[in-house]
Amino acid sequence: MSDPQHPHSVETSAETPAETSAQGSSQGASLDELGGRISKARHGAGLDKSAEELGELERGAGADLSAAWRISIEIVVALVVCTAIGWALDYWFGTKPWLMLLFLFLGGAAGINNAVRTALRMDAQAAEVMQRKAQTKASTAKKE
Amino acid sequence: MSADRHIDHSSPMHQFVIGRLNDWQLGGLDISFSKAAAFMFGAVIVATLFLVLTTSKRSMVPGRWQSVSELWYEFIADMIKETIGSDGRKYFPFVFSLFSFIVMCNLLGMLPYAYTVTSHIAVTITLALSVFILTTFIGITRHGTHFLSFFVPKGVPLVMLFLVVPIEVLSYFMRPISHSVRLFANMTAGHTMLKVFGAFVVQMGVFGVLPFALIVALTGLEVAIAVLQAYVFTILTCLYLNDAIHLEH
Repeated sequence: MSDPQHPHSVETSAETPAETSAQGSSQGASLDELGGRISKARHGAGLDKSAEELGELERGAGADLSAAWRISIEIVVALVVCTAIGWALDYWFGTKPWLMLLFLFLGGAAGINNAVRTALRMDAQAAEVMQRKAQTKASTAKKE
Repeated sequence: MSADRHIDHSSPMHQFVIGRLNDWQLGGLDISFSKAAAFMFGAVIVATLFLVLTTSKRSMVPGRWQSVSELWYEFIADMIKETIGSDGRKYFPFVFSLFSFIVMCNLLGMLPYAYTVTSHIAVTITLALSVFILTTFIGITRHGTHFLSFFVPKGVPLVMLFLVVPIEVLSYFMRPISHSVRLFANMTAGHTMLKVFGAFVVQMGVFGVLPFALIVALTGLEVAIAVLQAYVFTILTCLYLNDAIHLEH
């Protein structure tokens, strides 16, 4: 692993144990160096957020609209579909209107259940993003 | 095209008519090649060609086009890593294909004269049901009968279970429906809105400039929604996969 002839091989072999050959490790080292230079240049040009930007799609043009859709659809769909199921069951069993009423309430509960879960997930996601942002801000402040 | 007779050409709903490109019958079944089928094939071909051509060079330092493909790949890979964790790696091909297909269908639908495949619930419910069946199958094969504990939340008194379990079961079975309706409703509503405002431009004469300006803005919004809804569909797929793999809400 640690080839005395290649001082770079020690640090690269920790990451890529497959590349133990002298040529592989030296190539890996130069690639690491290149990667470091690229990320430095990107950081200097303010380009190092392209991947994050895609993730920020959710806060883009249609963001609020899509958040509203995501939650409201859960309630509407559950309510409508469950009521329809209840109505169909009533139709078959001849128990109008009791099963429809039962399924109306069950559907409302299921819809709110799903909606609350979606909202909690979105909250957790937003909190994570905020935390990550604060971390990167702190780390860049330290660098400067 | 018999369906054309029912919907007037100037109607904002006319854009959703599935036209037949030829007339094939097989034992009484209509297997004609439709506009919808053509655009689905188109989406698959465009996505495949784009990814294959841009990554064919396999440069160590990516050019502009290769960067787009790599970003595309990393976007999904990161999404899976964040929502499912390392267990989700196996499902990367499925999730990536699903996202690529939907985003291509949505974006091709934004072209003038194009047809939006995802504006039909038949298409979106098929995608959502395949996700639903896959996640249920994964849950059952991974956890066996223990999978049923998914419907019994922890820390609920026994008396309440009679009410809570049916609600949980219903919630679970509502998933493919809300999953598909969300995409279908967004695409249909957006494209109908564009057509309605388009009709205003014609009807209002000189003052048609106002709805025209609105259409320009709305078209931008629609492109954003096309990508966003593909993203939402995919991340929900990841969340459902996560539920099936880790059995937690």
